[in-house]
Amino acid sequence: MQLARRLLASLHWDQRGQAVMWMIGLTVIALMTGAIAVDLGVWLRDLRFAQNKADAVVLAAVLELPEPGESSAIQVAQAWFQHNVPDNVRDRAHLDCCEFEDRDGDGRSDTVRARVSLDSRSLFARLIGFGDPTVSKAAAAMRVRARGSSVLPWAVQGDNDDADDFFGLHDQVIDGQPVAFHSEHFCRPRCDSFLGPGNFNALAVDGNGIPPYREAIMNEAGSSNVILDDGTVQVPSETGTFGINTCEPL
Amino acid sequence: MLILTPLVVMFFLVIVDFGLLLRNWVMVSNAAREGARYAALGGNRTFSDIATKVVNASGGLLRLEDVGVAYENRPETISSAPTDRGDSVIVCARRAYTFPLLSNLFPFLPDVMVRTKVDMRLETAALGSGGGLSCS
Repeated sequence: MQLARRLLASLHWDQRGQAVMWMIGLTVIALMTGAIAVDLGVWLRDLRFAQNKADAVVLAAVLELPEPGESSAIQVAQAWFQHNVPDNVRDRAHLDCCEFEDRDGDGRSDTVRARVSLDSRSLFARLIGFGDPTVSKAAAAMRVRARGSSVLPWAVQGDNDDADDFFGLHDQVIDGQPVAFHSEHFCRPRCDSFLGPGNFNALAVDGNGIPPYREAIMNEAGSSNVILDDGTVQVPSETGTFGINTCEPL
Repeated sequence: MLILTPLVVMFFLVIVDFGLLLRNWVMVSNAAREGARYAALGGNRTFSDIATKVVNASGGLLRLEDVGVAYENRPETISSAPTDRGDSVIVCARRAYTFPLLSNLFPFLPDVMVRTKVDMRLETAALGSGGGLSCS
């Protein structure tokens, strides 16, 4: 029995060095794993940081385009970079500003690109001698010129509310033809009185979406002769808010 | 082994907690950016609208009281009003982060304050006003 104990003790004694080696090895692996995890986390955080700053910079700068111009946009970009970078990382953050592009072909810059870089802090990369990595993110913003057309409201004051009587507007003649009025062109639900035919319901397409409005615009609701190109209709003007329904200003 | 196992377990707890902290930071940062972008469009967006946008974008991490909105006059604009086109709208957010795993083992561990601030340029004049946390 004593012999067995002595034998076991000697075996343990012989394996003590192995355990130490295992311990050192595992500790190194654990430390490296931790360092990589921390580095990756910091790296992802810094990427988000750089992207946020780049977005803010280009969105601020693009407001200067196309006028007053590129030099003004660069100044604004640098100003917003300073506004967005906290003091404690100012020496590690850099703005690469700016590239301009004319994408709509009008001869003036309408797109701005910028890149924000940040000297990230690292544990693992330093340990293996790579030093601190630099993360950078770019952003671009474009000023799009809007082109559109408007349907401006107009109206003719009717003499009465009798559709069969053409609302008393027999005298309205365009190109030798009496103007034919249609009751669906009147603003019955909202207006207090009949103001005569017009396109004042047209803008309500986006409001109530009542089909006759759209049809009136598309000339599909028997609205021929309402008005012709170059025709002139004398109407009293009224001022109102340009809203979803032109009945309101009328 | 008896010594090594707790150390390894502890080490992984630290890594997981650190990862969660960074995740929170990124989410708070992203939420503030979303709110600032929303506010930068100007118009009649109120503080409540902007703060709600930030809270929704944070995936429930932030509460309304964790958000601040401020307007600042910039020399690039002509007017002295701080809510004109070209001025700054600043959205800030902060959240105290409690280490969910380590704080069970070490109750004395302090919370980490996750803070972020985004300054964007107003694209149109804003009719609303700031509120909430101080962003300065």
